[in-house]
Amino acid sequence: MSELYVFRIGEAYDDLSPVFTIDGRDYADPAAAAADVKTAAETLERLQLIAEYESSRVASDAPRSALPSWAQWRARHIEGGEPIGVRPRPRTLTFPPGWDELGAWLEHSHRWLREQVAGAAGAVPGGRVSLLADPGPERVSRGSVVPAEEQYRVDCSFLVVPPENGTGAEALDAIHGWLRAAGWHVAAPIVEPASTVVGAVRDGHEIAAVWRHAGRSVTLLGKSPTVDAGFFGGTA
Amino acid sequence: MHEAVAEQVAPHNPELASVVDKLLDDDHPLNVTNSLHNPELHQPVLDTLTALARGDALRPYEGDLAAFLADNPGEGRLFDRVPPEINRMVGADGVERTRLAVHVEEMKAGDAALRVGGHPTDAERAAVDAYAARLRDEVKPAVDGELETIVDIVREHTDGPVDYNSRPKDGPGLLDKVERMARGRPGAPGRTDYQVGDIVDAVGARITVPDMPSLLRALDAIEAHFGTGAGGRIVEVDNMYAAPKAKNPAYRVIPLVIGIEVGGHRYAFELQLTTVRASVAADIEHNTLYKPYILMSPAEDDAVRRALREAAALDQLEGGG
Repeated sequence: MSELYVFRIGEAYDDLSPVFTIDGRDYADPAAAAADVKTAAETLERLQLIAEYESSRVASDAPRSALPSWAQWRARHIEGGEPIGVRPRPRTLTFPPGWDELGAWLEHSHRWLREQVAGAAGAVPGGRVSLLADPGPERVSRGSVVPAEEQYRVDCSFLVVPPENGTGAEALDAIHGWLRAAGWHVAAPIVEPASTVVGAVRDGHEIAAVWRHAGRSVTLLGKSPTVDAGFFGGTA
Repeated sequence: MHEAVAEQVAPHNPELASVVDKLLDDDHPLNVTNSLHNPELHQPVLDTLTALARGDALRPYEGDLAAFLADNPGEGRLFDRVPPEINRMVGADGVERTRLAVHVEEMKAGDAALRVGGHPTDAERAAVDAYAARLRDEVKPAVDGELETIVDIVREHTDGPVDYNSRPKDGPGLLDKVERMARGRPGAPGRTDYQVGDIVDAVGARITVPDMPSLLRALDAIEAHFGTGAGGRIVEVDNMYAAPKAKNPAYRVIPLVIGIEVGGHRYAFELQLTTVRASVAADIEHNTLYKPYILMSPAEDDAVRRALREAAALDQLEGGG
């Protein structure tokens, strides 16, 4: 077994992509590979690139990674000057005007949207409602060294299972009626062979109710508009 | 690769197959697509995707995981709630606290770099860089050395793939996290007292096992090796099989925080235990619903969420006994 090191870079530590490997099988001994790992890590740090590496053990006959080696990547991007594709990190993060307002808006949107989606799910008579996911505000753009460029959204989803004597079509009707009464603009259902989707919008928020014809349950997917600090007084 | 997905996954769930196809065409390398391209992992991952696409476990429940769990509470220790004394303790002052908080406090007391907060001086930055170098050169190898014995134990009992990987954070990464945590982000208020020592995953490791019996074997081996409760080195266990998260009840992983002493300094590392099935489902969910890599229709969005719930249900049925 040998160590395989995969280096990843990006513009945020939670949004990195693999770019090159250091494969212990290419080295005479583990210490030589470890020395290159240290050199690579220090080089990326000197370039002020957001980077991380992960190591795992591979068998001698395990397939090779499709990623370039450190030597190849270094020759191409550092010695050859080919653009790396990510910007270096600033010494300190600059949070833009509008950042706090963005957070406050998303928190309000989160509470309101959850009430709306839960309300629509609860409109199915005798239905059994369960929360699928309510992660709160999430970044939905690529991570950026410039927080003003990052975009956020709130998602919230519920499942409703109609009673034994109910159908998915009836559930969609009940949801459709509730949304319309609550002030949502509801579009005509989109009927596909495997599913029917009812979409609704209000104040930039969207709710989609999905009924898969193979069963009778309906999934409700709520989404806020995608926003950034620029919406609230900043400049992106 | 698309042919295999079309043959195995699409007949059961064309929307999930479509999502996998889009991920395969996207140039962002993901664990699930890398695994599909790996000759060793291709078939196990394709079989996992097929099982998730079939949806057999949750079909009788109309996809309702909560109803399924009510009928299938799970058998064996993996589904038992973590006893309170594993994660909490009463100090000499009679005050009950989490073992994690006590461990972090002790780490910070012995290492000035761990007390660096949101606005570091140049000297503090240098101290954090030196701490990160210790993580890379001393702590990660020590963690790898201990955990590889656990991985070997799991491998002895299964023919399936057992994957182990680990990573250290670097100095700028530690300070970036402190800065972001102190500042807060949309939906998460700032923690102005956040310090480098609060980052308990400064070294993170992950063991991915092929099935639930292997997961139980890994957890047993870890608890036997590191110990829990008074005198143990495991300071936090968060078992999502026993206690799913309210905000994402289908997500399954067992993160543990474990103490380690290297070169006279106390550290902590985070270890995540997961099954291939849970890992594949979570990887697809994370990289489709919360990343801008591919466009998804509502029916595809629904299929991804159903796959995550099906993975949780299949893990539950497989149990660990």
